[in-house]
Amino acid sequence: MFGLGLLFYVTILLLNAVAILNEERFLARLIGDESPSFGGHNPETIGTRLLTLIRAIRTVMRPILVVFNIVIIFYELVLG
Amino acid sequence: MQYPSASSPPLHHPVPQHPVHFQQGGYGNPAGAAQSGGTSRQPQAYRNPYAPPQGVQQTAPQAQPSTIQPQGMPNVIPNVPTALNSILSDPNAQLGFEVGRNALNYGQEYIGRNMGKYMDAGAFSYYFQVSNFYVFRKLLLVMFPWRHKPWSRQIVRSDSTGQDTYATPREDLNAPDMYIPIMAFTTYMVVFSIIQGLLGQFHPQLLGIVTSKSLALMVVEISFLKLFSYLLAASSSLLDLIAYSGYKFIAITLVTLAAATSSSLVKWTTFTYTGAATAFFMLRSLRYVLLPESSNSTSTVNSGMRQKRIQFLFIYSFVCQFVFMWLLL
Repeated sequence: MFGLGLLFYVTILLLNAVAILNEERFLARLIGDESPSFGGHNPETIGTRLLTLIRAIRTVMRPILVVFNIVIIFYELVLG
Repeated sequence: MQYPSASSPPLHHPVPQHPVHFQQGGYGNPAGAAQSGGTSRQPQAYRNPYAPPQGVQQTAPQAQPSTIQPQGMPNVIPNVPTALNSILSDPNAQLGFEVGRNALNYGQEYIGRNMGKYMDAGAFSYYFQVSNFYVFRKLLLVMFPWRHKPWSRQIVRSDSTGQDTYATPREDLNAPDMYIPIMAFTTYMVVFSIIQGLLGQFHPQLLGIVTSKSLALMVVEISFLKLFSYLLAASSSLLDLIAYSGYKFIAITLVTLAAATSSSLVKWTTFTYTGAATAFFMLRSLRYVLLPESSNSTSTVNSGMRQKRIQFLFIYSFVCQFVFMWLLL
């Protein structure tokens, strides 16, 4: 049954999936060759915003995800 | 900031650095040097046999923390009452109490200010300023949104600050509120439980399961909406989205009632009508979030982005509303 607990697992797994995306192999090809230019005049498209979001998630969430993954793995091993 | 600078004089004054004839020099010490060593050195000075009684009288009352006193006192038994009295009446001690009280007030004020930053009570109270008339008209609007004409929210200019804010739900029918969504959510729980009870299938666990499922689906829907409003560069208030996503519980309650009392055909007819009404309501209401008036924001919303926003608004309102309502049933 879908509930808050399952939603938590789904969120963690999706964030894991975003966090392991490889910058050179995947993201660069996804957007094309658009390096993040500061103060640039390129118009904001959905692609660039998505790339910004993915980079932000990778930067911010990585240490938090490590902790959560370890806790969940131990929980599933002991009580699951 | 206020605390250490104001409290340091009473702390470093009483510390005797050396035997008595150096005490005058001890007063002139720099502020930082004496602070940490003060408590450990004081008993040593009291045990000094050459210390005259009036020297102790001078230093003892000025000692700021009262816990130091019992350690140093037994060596100067005759002076205990005078020392204690002079602690309470000493102007430096009074100053210390005053500083402590100020620091406490300042700390409380600081906590209150930062709590207000994260949990803005004013932002929540906006969504609960409803009246009976508003609730009645809003319920009618959600169910029969077809002929309603002006969908834009009213803007009022407050006299005190001169800022433009949206009118409260009490004054504006188009403003989002949280009273109706919360009440509709609760009503849905109660109706669902009663129907299960009439069927003889009620179990207390059922309440938790249904609440958890509904909340999880709402979280999914709101994060979906928030993600796309980020991708489409539309500024959206999270509380508005929470409020709008809760209106469909009215429709879900009606469908649940219809399913319990009538045949399958009536249930799906009700589902189609209420779903379409809610979707139309959402389409019109979320328009100001995703497609702000050109006068409001002259910022860079190019036509391609605008086209995508319109498409997303349509897909979200009709397709996603029906999917989520179907999942919630």
